[in-house]
Amino acid sequence: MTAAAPTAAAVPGRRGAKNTRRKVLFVFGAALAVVLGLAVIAIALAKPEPDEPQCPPEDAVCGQPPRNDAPPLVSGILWRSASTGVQMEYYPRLWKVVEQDDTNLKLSLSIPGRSDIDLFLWVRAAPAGPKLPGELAEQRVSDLREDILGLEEDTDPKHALLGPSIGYVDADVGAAYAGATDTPQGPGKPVSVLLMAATDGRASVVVSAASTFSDRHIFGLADSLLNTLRWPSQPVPR
Amino acid sequence: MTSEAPRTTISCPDCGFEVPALPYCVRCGEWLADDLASHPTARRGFGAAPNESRFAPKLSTLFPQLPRNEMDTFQLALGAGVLVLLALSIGRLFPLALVAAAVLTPLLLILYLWEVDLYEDEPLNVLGLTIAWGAVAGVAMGFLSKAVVDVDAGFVAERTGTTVVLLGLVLPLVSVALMLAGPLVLLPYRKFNDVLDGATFGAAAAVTFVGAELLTHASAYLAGGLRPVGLIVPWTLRVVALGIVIPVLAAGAVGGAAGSLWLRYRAPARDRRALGLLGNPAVAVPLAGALLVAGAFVQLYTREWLQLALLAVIALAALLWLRNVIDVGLRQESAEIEIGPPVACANCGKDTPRHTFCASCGVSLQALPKSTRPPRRPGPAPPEAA
Repeated sequence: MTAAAPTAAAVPGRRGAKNTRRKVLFVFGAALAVVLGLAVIAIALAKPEPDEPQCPPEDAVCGQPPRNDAPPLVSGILWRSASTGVQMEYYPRLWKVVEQDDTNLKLSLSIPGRSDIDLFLWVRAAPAGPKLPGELAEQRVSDLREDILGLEEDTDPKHALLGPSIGYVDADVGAAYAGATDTPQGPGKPVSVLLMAATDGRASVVVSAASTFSDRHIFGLADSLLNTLRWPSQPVPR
Repeated sequence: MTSEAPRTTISCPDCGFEVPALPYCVRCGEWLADDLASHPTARRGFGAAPNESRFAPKLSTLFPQLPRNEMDTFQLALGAGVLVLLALSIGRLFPLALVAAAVLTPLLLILYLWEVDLYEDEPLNVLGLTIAWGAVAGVAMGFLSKAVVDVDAGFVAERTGTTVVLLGLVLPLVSVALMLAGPLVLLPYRKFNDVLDGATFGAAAAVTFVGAELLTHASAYLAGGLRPVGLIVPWTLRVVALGIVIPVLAAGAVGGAAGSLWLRYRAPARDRRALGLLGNPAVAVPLAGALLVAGAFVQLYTREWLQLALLAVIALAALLWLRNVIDVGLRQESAEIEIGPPVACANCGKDTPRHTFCASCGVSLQALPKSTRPPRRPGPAPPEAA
């Protein structure tokens, strides 16, 4: 085995490893810091104005009974859970059925010409015995986390769910949550979720309403819909 | 090679050429010593890093032209970048973590191209049709995906067949076509006729595309403030996937497909079948699409740890493919090149006859700027671009 001739040519374009290391790390760190700094400024500038709460958190009366300024449902379509006795009406011009069976009703708000407004309502009824409202609510959060990235309870007082009730029965569980839509192309819009669970002693119901619309008044439409829910212990209107 | 009979040349058992009797073949990088046990991997290593196996999907796959001592620097930078991602996620600064995830890999790749100085005489063409093209096409794809599929609460409620087909199949396939389109413009140029060039161009365009698409697609979320409500663990896992795993997947798949195109249309005829079916563009390009589609479906139907694990498996497969494309590419020119005068290896610093691989450490000498490479033997060459 022989060594190559000792008169080696200098390799063009190469620098000392130590200097190169410092330079690469410096440029990398500086570039990352600049990008993150610009991102902080851009995000701060783009942040929306904080929304005003519908009711001051210290006002216990405000919010009870639930505000209802949506048009009344006159001749809605009736969904009835035979196994639990729970029933609810929805207006087909506003609500599109996504899925329904004996215990579940999934509705999506569909306003012609307003594709920017979205609201998804998911009602589940169960016999009161086996499932407590709290358990139903936990299960619902778990289900929603399959589709909403990082879904977590939103404890901001401005987003508090005041006087939660389903079909005029006070809810045992009522909370606001927030997360983000997620696709293979990356996370998308922030999602707001309101979740309630209640029981009348004969049936338990859990309801979630999710929307990416920036104006939280949109949840008023879900509220008015839930006022049509009838429990098995309540008289059924003609 | 035997110690009792010193020889100046030896017939390489791999490429068959008569080469200097040194530890590594200067033409193909084969380990020439008899005692294979003393070889770092006990078999022929990866052309760009002979101390590593060809079947170990390591960082040298993405930065094949880096000398070993500079690889540490990039590993350090990548590690620091990952720590930044984790710190931002754990600090609940999810929008900033998304921005860091989008720029981390492209930034490292730009630094790499700058550091190896490989395209010093054509920086605008190369950077324009790889990095800049990837960024512009990624932004366009981000807007297109938002326009085609309005992902709102309805997406939470109902994943229709149409939505799934668009998000999981159509958009990833269009993305592959866009990622390849920029680098393909460079295919006819004779000065970019190495398989390694194609693989580098494809990988560079892919990572910038993915980063730009992520930033564009997430713009609605970024506008929501610095510390939105969210669980730390799901966000951290997602950010790691978006910042590391998916760019690696895209770089492996698109780099492999681009390398196969270069292998088919720019490599010497005898090398065109060196990779078998994986080197055939008719198979390689659809395979790249299939890898990205698989990644998209994993993201549609799995969450958190399972999603990260499955994406990592796909990304490793893509990286392995790219590694073998590069390995073939690094050896392809050897038969056409005369053994030149000694040069100092940029990796180990020892003198080596100027050719394709360092005779002392076995690293590919392709990190040299093209103007310093030994000339090819005269012979038929693919047509030059108009």
